[in-house]
Parts: sequence; C-alpha cells; structure tokens
Amino acid sequence: MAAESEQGQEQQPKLPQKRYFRQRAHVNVFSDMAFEYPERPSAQDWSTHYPAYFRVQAGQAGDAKRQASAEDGDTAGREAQAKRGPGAAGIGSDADAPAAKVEFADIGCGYGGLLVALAPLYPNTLMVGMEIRTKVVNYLQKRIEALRGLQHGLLQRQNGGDTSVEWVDVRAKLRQEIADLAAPHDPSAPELHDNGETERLAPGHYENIASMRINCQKYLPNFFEKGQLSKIFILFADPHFKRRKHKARIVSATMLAEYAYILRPGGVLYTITDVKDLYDWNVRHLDAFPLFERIADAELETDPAVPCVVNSTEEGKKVARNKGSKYLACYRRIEDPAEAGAAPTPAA
Amino acid sequence: MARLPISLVEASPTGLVALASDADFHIADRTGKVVASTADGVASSAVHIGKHGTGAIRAAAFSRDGALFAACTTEKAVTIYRTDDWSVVRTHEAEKRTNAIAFDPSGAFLLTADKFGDVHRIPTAAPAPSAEVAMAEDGGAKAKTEPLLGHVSILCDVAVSYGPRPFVLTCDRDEKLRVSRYPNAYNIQAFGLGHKEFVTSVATAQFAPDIAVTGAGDGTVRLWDIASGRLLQTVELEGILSKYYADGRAVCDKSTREDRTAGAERYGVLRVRAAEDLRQFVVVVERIPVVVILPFSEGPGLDSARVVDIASPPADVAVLGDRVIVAYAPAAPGPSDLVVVLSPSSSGSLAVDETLGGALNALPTAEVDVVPQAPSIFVWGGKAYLDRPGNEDDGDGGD
Repeated sequence: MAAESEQGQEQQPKLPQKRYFRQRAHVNVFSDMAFEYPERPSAQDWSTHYPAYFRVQAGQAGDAKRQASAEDGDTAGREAQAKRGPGAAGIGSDADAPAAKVEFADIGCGYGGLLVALAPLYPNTLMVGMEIRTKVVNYLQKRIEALRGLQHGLLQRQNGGDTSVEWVDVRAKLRQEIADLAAPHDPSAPELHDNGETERLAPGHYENIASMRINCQKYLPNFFEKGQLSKIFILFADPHFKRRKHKARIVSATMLAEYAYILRPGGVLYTITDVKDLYDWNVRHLDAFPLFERIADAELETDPAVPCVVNSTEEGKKVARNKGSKYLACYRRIEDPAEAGAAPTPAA
Repeated sequence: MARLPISLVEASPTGLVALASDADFHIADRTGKVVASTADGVASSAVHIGKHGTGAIRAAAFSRDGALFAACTTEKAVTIYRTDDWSVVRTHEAEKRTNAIAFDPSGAFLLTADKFGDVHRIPTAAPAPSAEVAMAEDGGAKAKTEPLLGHVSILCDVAVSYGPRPFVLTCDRDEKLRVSRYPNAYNIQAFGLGHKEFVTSVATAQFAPDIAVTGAGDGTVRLWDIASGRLLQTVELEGILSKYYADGRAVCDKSTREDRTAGAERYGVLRVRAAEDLRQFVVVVERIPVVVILPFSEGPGLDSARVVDIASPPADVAVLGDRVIVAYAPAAPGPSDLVVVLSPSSSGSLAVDETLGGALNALPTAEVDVVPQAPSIFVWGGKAYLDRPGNEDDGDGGD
C-alpha cells in the first residue's frame, strides 16, 4: 500500500497546457470530415467516457487502474457518496444502477471551462462537451484525465490518513471566482488552471464529464435520443459574420428543431455571446421558434448553472478582462402549442 | 444517332403517367396514348403544355387527387399545372437547386427539397397578382416561400405519409431519415437511423400508412415505423443481386469506379415506389438490369424479394395502377426502347406488357449523336474524405 501511494505521487498527472493545443476557431461544418459516430444512440458505448458510472461486469478484465481505484477508494467512495447525495452510482459502487444517460451537452465546449465548473455542482449528472477541433478535443481529454487522476491521488492521501485533504465548497469557490474577475488581470501570472480542483476533492471527481470530437450540426441525433437532455449550452459561438455563412451558425431554424428534439420539455437551452449582433440573431430565431420560450432574468437568478455559463469559460474570462459585455439568453423547451390538447410543460 | 432517353417517370393515382426527357415531358394515359406534351408534333390530339424556365426536368409529382402536376428543372424553375387542361396554375423560382418535390395531402402546397438541406412550401393556388408582386423582395417575379424544415445536408427525397396524422419524411446524404410533423415540421417526430450511406429514396403507401420504405447507397432497402423511427427490417440487395455482377450483366464502368470507394460492386438504390394495387414495393438499382419486387405483409414486413430481369439497367420506375413502368438508363450499345412495362402475370410474378410498352416506346423523341451518360449516384453521394490518403482532415481548412 505504502509503495503504491509513493508510486502514485511520482506519477502525479500533469494538467496539459493550452498553448500546445491551440487551433484556429473557424471550421467549415459543411465539409466532409471523418468523424466517429454511432449508428444510433443505443449503439454508443458511453462507458469509455464515464468509466466510473458504468458497472464493470464481474469476472470481466477491466483495466488495472480502474480496479485499483475501486478497491482503494471504497472508504473514500462511501464518504464521497455521502457528499454527492443519495441515488448516485458512486465509484466502485456495486449498486445495480441502470445505465446512466448523458443529460447536459456543451455544444462547442472549447477548452472545457464550463464542464469543469459544472461537474462538482451536479455530481450525479453526466455531461458531455462536443467540439469539432481536433487539437482542442485532445487538450480537453487530457485535462479531464489529469483532473480525475489528481482526484484519485487526493482520495488515496485522505485514505492514508492525510487530514489536510479537504472537500471544496463549490458555491464559495464560484463566488470567489466571480469576485476575482473584477480584480485587475496580471499578465505575468502563470497560466492558471482555473476552475479545476487540483488541491481539493470535488464532488463527482470529474468522472461525470467527458469530451468528444463531433460535428454537432450533423450528428446530434446519432448520439442523443429524443428528449434525452435536460440542458444544452451554447457559449460564445462562432459568429460567422458574413451573410453567406449564416447557415453555419449554430443557432438557426434548422438546428433549433434538432435541439428541441434532443432536449426534453422543461429542459433549458443556455446561450451567451459577447457579440451583440449574434445575440440579436439568437434571440430573433429562438423567439420565433414555437418550441422554445424565453426564461426571464428573475428566474435565472436561482439557477446554479448560470454563473458558470457567464464566468467559467476561457472566452468568458477574456471578455471580462477586456471589459466587454456578455449577452445571456436562456430558453425553456416547451410542448408544441400546435398540437391540440398539448400537455402543460413540466417543471424544469 | 440514338434516342434521347427518358430520365424520369412519375405516375398519378388517376391513370396518367409523366415521362420526362431532358427539358421536355409527355403525359400518357393507361393505354399509352399521349394526351399532352411540352414537345411539338407528338400527337395530333395532344394538348400542348407550356414550358417555363430552362433546364432539364429534375423532379416531378402529381397531387394525391391527381388534379395537379408539378415539374422542377435543374435551373430551379418550378411549374404547377392543372391536369385537366394543362394550364399553368403557378410558376416559381426556387432559391436553390431542388432535388425532389411532393404535394402535401390536400394539394394546397407543393414541398420542395433542395441541395442546401431545406424543404420549402409553395402554395399551389394561383397567386393574386398584386399581392405576390408586392411581396417579392427584389422586385422580380419570385415570391419568398416559407422554409418548412431543414437538414444540414443535401436532401435526396421528400415524401408525405398517409393516414389521419400526416408526417413529412425527408432523407439526406448523411444517412438520415427524418420524420417531422406536418405542417408543424419544426417538431421532429423521429429519426430513422440505420442506413450507412446516402438515402436516395423514401416511399410511403396508402395500404400501409404507418410504415415507410427507404433505399440508399449502402445497398439496402429498409422498412421503418414512421411514428417512432424504429427500423423494422433491412433487405440486403447484395444477397439477391450479386449474381448480376458475376454474370457480367451489371454495368460497372469507369464512372462507377470513380465513385471514390474501394469495391467495384455497388448496389445504389435509385428509387423505391409503393405499388398500391399490388400491395408491393418496387425498387430499381443503378446499373443492374432488374426490377426488385418486395411484397408487403401485415406484421408489418417485407417478404422475400422477387427479381424480374429487364433488358437494360434502369433510370427510374413508377407504378401506374398495376403496371410497373421502367425507364431505361442510357447504355451505349443499348436497345432502342425507352421504357419497359411490366404487369402482373398469372404466375404471380411480373411479365412484360407489350401493349402499353409498345405504345410508350412509340413516343417521338429527339435523336442525338451521343447519348449523355448519367454519372453514378455515388459520385455525389459518397463522402469526400474517403478518397483522400491518410484522412486526417481535422477540418482546419477554409472558412
């Protein structure tokens, strides 16, 4: 055991550095590119993205690291379970849980700021980030692996009796980050791996977030069943300024029908941008789309996801540093008003 | 010199068949008599049909009650005619190249599916002159139509289901069949997922209003439950048609090989049609000289395929009553027949109907020096990245 923890410390996972994974923002979504996508949602094996949330069959050869964490983390797992709340299929849990389904999707997730911020707020919820740029997806996959590895290391230390290992108070941290945004930016400060817990335990241990390379404009129905998602995030999307490129915009009448299809009635679509024209475009299209209804600002104040949407992404922080404006527009997926005798929209 | 071939066949439920050849089309009745045509000198009694716009006929459709007919050209000209006197009800210039058209159940609208991925709705009533011109954006004769729904892909076909609650079915180059409510098509009912390549044709049937049948570049015909999108059955054409390649009767030439895929044997479905009177689905496959019959049975299911040999590979097929009309694809050393007509024989299969076939083959058509070869559907349907060596395209190029 002691040898193992020594070895674990030597192999402390390193967070990847963004500067090695930069890629220009613009991609032609209409060109043919080789993507991996399942024939239909039931064919997708999500267990490779969220190994901790899918049971390993007894007698099946799992990978050594995963089995080790299942054994070692049992005590910590139970404590973590308590922190996460009831009903969570925890790490190493033998509970006969039904296959978990992804419920949040971040469309154009970039470097993963939103996912990393949301993960500990909703530890029982599986979230996926979708990004079309190869280098950026590679970065995010490494980032998530590293965060999970660091959490595993912290759990081991806590198990080994290290009382300095604490759980993060997620809400307090978020409040601090928002306050920090108002402080002047120090350009000489080392690149911070903001909103990712490297020193403290986070509920969910980042096992509930994953990223994929996918062209969302073509393949969403391959991954998600009708009404599967409860939240869709579209943050700081490519504005595609030129008129002839407007069809490539991620919010369009065409795509709204697909978002409405994969989002359950009562689910929420979050959009934010610093480009006023794009905000106007989004609002115009969403207001005109019969299956979405604007959520008033007052209602958004109680939604814990909103501060993450506004502040947690690299783009969001950049805009704040440059004293830009951010335009938030959130919509609820409602039942089709055209269908006679439509059921009232369920609560979010 | 060779005859200009028929590229498109479309049948009405009221006993008329349209045969299109380049920029012209002819309308014949059940006996093969030409009752109307856009070409001159076809038959003394034939009504002359006025043509609008330029370009070859790309798609055609009859309304469900047979009262209207629409034709769309490669140059985006859409014309809607009354079938009693062949007067023009309405003309329309589509925004983008249109690949398929279909009337909605009442005939009040014509749905057009374009290569940009959008379905538009054109009202079929004659436009009120002042109102339409006032609405036109750039002062031209075209009026803006409402986009009904969109895919982010090239649309290959559009159809409307039968039954009390109609759905519009659209299929695209990215293997998808989409089922949307109608007229509230922003509300996606289901996706039919399963095809592995571009879906070329979707057919609905009055005798089986809950199901739809599609054909695709992946060499399969699939049966779907419309309301759920569930795949009910897959028919692999290779199993029944591979012997045509072995026997050398399947035409596999240079243009087929340029379809960017490894194998030379391809089974690209050109068209699936419901044969209402026969309770069957009829399928024609590019380059293979057959008609595939799939009888429908309650279940729902498609029974074992019956394959009927024809003299030459097909270009299109339509079902007029209990007659299956196949237009021949241009084939260099081919027969001089334009079409072949099959009718149910006493043995339960289909046999050549010389009467109707003979009448239709007597259609006066233009003579050309060289018959243009139609490119394989795999040329536009296949994914572009498949022929690039080391396909590590991360989409970083181009805006």
